[in-house]
This record gives sequence, C-alpha cells and structure tokens, in this order.
Amino acid sequence: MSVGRLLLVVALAASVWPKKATGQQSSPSQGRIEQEVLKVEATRDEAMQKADMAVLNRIYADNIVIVNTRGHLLTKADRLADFKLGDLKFLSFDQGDYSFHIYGDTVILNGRANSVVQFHGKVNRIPRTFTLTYMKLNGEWRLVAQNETLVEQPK
Amino acid sequence: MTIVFRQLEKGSIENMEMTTIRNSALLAILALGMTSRAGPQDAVKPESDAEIQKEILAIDSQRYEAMQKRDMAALDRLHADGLVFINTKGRLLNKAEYLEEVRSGNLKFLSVDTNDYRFCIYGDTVIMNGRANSVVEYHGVVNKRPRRFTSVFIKMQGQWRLVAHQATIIADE
Repeated sequence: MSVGRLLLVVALAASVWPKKATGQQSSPSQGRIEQEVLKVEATRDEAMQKADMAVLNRIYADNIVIVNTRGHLLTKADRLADFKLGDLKFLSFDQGDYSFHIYGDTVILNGRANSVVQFHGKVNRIPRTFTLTYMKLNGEWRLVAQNETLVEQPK
Repeated sequence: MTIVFRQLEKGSIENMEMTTIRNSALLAILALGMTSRAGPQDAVKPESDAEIQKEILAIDSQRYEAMQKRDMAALDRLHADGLVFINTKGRLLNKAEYLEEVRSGNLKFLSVDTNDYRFCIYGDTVIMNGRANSVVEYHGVVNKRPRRFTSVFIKMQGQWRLVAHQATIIADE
C-alpha cells in the first residue's frame, strides 16, 4: 500500500470515529474502547425496545443510579420494572450525536435522544441530552449511571 | 440513605489530572453513619469508603465556593480538562464554556443548598447523586426549582476531579 493510500485510509478511519475527549490523545485503544461501548449501547437500545429483561439485567450494573427526565432517581429494580410492566415504551428510537471521554475503565458517553417515549401512559417527544457512565466490571462494560435532561425548546 | 459501592476490579486510569473541602454539616452527616452497602460484588472497606466520601464532599464544597467567588484558578484545578457539563436546559458545555459562564457572570449561585447524597464508589471513579435547592441566576433568569444531579469524579494523579455533571429539574415540585 502506498503512503498516500495509507494516509487516506487513516483519515477515513479517523473521520468515522466519534468525537474524542478534549485534551485527550487519540489512540488505537481509545478507538477500540469506543467501539466496544457503542456495541453495548446498541445492544441496550435494542433490549429497551424489546423489553428484553435478561439483556438489560446484564448491562445495567447492580448499583446503577438513573435520573430520568422528570428528575426522579431510579434504581436498577425501578428501571427494570418500568420495562417489565410496560410503563416505559419506545414508540420510535433515534439516538446519536455521541461524544466520548475515556478514563481507563471508565467511559463518559454523552449524546442526544430524539426517541418518542411513552412513560406511564404519557408520550414524550421532547429531545433530551444524556450522560451515560460505563465502567468495565469483571471484564464487561456495564452502565453504572445515567442522567437525562429535556432540551429546552425555543419559545 | 447513602449507598456506598466499591468495585473489586478497577483497571488503570489513564490521562489523568486534580482536587479539594465541604461544609461541616455534610461531614457531620457522614459521621452519623448514613451509609449502607450493597451488591455481592462489593469489597467492603468502610473506613476508606467513608474517607472517599469525605474527600468528594470536600472537593464539591470547594467547587461551589470557587463558583461563588469566581475563583477561576480553583475551578480550573477542580474540573477535568475533558469535563462535560449538561445544565438543566439540556445544554452540553465543555470545560472552557462552563468556566466562561462563571467568569462572565452569566452563571451565579445566589445560594448553595445541596443534599440527599448517594455515592457509588468504584475504585478511582465515584458516582455522586444528589438534590440541589440552590438558587441560581443564569443569563439573568433566577431559577429556584429543585433539581437532581449526577456528578462523576475520577482520581487523576492523586487528585479527585469532576469529569461529568448533569442536572435535571424535578418535574413534580
């Protein structure tokens, strides 16, 4: 492979990586970690839409703390019950604009969700921003904290 | 109730950085032992967990004090370079943007009142949840609504620094 072609491949690869953390150096391990976490996140997204309790139970850390868009603090049991009982349903799923900050085995994943969600019978279409904290525990990436906030809409 | 969780496995921390004090009332709460433990994967070390909580509360106290005084040097030290801050409007700010809000006076704490802390401790990463009743002036608008927040602290080169913070208005209050 010529040097020019190699540079092109590197540039393309860099362009598809999600945004790097401010002040952090890009490295192969960071790219690998981002891909690993994104894969878990994709699995979680699918499990939420299907209310797949086994998968959600595996991804959520036992002591996960969730702050939902209403400012309520939820435990793992609370959140799983929401899915199990059908109190939390995704009517459509749209999430992206990810940014990563990687600190060893801790990953801060920020993003924006435009999903349409039904929560206890009430439909919410307002976009929200979120902070997900993933940690590698016993060799597996698990979600240890989640906080969501509705994005204020122009009046 | 405060949940303390210490994770057995914790890998190396890379790209790290720095520090800090909290008010005596909060320390008193800790001293009263409002701490419980959870999880089969815990490695219980009560003394060190309590110590970590004290350190985090001290850092957070210094952070609020620095915000009220617009002590930019202290704020720079207490926040990680990669800080991501999501405010109650759902707006995402990086460190530079957040510090500029404080420096410019666009963000002012008219009073500070935080409580109902919960800690999950995973080695050098600490998740702190809490409730804030602080009165905040943001771009000229005073906000007195209570909110829940999540703060993530990581020990970098021996010093705790805030790497992420998000606050959400409590809808029913």
